[in-house]
Amino acid sequence: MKRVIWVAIIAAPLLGLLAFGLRQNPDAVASPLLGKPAPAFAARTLDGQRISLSHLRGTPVVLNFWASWCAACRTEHPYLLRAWRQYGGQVRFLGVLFEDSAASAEDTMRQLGGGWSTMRDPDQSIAIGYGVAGPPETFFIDRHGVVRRKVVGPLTAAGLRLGIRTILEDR
Amino acid sequence: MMRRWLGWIAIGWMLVLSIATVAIYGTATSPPTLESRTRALAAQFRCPICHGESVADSESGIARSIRSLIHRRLAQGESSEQIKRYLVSRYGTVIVLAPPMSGIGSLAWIAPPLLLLAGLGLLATLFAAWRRQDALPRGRRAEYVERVRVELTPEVGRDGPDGREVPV
Repeated sequence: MKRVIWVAIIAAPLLGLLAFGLRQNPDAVASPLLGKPAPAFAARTLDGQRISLSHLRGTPVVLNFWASWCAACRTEHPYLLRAWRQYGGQVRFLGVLFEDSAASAEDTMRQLGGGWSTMRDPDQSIAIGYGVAGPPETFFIDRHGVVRRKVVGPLTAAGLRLGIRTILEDR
Repeated sequence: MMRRWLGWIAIGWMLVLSIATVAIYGTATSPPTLESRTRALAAQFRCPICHGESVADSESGIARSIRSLIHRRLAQGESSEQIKRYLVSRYGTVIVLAPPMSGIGSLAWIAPPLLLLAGLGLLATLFAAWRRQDALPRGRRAEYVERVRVELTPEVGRDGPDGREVPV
């Protein structure tokens, strides 16, 4: 009887720890940027324009890190396209190229459609500034320049709508 | 006697040599270079896209970019702690390879020594129990020694391996 009690005392915390670990989603890492001012950036787009976050103050921004070689980016593209057509007047859509060449990215945009700009990030300073591990990752920045949502992985229609509604709300 | 002295002399020589090596090479090492500082700091961070690989060891594009960032910031005079704070502010504590000393991460620091102590305690308890089981009750030792002595003494008229009587 005494032995059973000892085994239970040792096993209970270990089982508790195991249960806690199994219930965690290893991919669901909350960004430390949520609720904080979006990291500043200034970069050139594929067509040579200069864009900086400070010039976009007052406009909600959907910042999407993507690459032409990324299959999940192609999956989410139709949702982005639809949202851009619907909300493009109220929200600024911006892509950030992740480990890709400008030529491939331009080709892909021509194939898939979409009139939003994509910024080059050759030293990945924007990606590191936003804590991006790999594409696709999307940040929803409100008109005050605060990061309100982050989506890791391909966007869904519902996820995109929720993000846009969040940044369109005025707090 | 001589052999014992030789052993002590050998140990003495080894100590002198070790101290001399540390004195000569330990203090004469050149200060760390920017490259070695970059590598040492990069080794403390997890490659965000790899599994169990540090930024120093990974050849992924993002790891290379983080290495360049560390190199650039160190060259600009930022301290390791400042760079660490910057990366944690962007990626969260998950970017740091060593678990945090607070919260659930502290378990990774506390659990191993505690488990080691618990294991040593368990072993000590088991050894003590085995010794108690094997120990002879008081007063039976003389009886036991006598029995061993009798059993080890060749018996008169005992049969040998070939069945014939063994001569005493």
